[in-house]
Amino acid sequence: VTDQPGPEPVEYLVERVRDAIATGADTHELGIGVQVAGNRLLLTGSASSEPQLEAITTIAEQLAPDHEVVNEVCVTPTSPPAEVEQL
Amino acid sequence: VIRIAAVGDVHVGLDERDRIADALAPVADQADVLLLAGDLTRCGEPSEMKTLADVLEPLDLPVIAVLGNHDHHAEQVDEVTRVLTDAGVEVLEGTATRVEVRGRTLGVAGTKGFGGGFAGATASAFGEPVMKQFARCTTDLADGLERALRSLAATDDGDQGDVGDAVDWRVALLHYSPIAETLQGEHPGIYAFLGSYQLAEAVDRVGADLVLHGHAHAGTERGLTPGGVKVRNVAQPVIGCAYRVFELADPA
Repeated sequence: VTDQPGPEPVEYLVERVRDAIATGADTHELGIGVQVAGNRLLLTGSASSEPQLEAITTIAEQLAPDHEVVNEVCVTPTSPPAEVEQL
Repeated sequence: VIRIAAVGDVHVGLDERDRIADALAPVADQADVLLLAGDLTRCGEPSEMKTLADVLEPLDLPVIAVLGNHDHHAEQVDEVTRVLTDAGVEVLEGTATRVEVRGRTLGVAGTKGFGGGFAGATASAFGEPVMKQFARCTTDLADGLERALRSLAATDDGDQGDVGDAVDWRVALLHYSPIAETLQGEHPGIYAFLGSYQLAEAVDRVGADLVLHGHAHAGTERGLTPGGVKVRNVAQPVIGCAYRVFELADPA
């Protein structure tokens, strides 16, 4: 038995951030990838709007204050389709 | 021919009327029908669905939808469904509908579907009650899809289906995926939460021209059921545009 636990394994932080983004009232985004590399926390995937994108960043910054949050989530494009697919 | 516009996972939140209205503005000029593959709202609030319904109601084409898991989150399924139906949208769950287009008939059978996994990595109705409930939910929804598809098909003995003549085109509209192929890009560990082979099995038992689904934002667009029916993942983050348009040729 180790009386003094070491630093928290990074995977617990990753899941805490991912779950908060999935269930947060301003986000509700289940498809965001969360990775930690060194002192950076990387967010990937897609969001439906700019406010949602910003809310995702805010959650990550609150839960990982010791990391630099790098948000590479994209806002989903909604331009008209360029072609018709014939099936 | 018939042109089918389709999109899923538009995740409309409050104050997003302009975004969805701009995205769908040209759809009636490009397609004969619009199919919505679930996750229409961000968290299933009737007010969110009303935002979308106000955009759909004036569109000059039939709109058919299934709900997604996000549309269930607020646990107000009856209310969000009523908001859509009040706007003239046909909402399917284990049911089918028909659309007449230039003398031919499109039949659409729909279900939200559910998880459960794919060959070699599936859930079974065994053990704890919640596990049995999870597995049986998928089976029940897949059974509903099969019944709905059969209602659009001529039966083997020459009789017609339950609700009228066989249609010219049959489309299955889902939220969860029927195949693993269109999930590629997602973490394989969550495939069982993204769809179930039982949905494909229901389609393959009856036959269809096309299966549409959403749900898998990081998935890929194209695949086939094990029986060879074309599958398209039309989740908006996957297609990268407002909607896809598919053209089905007249039956021989």
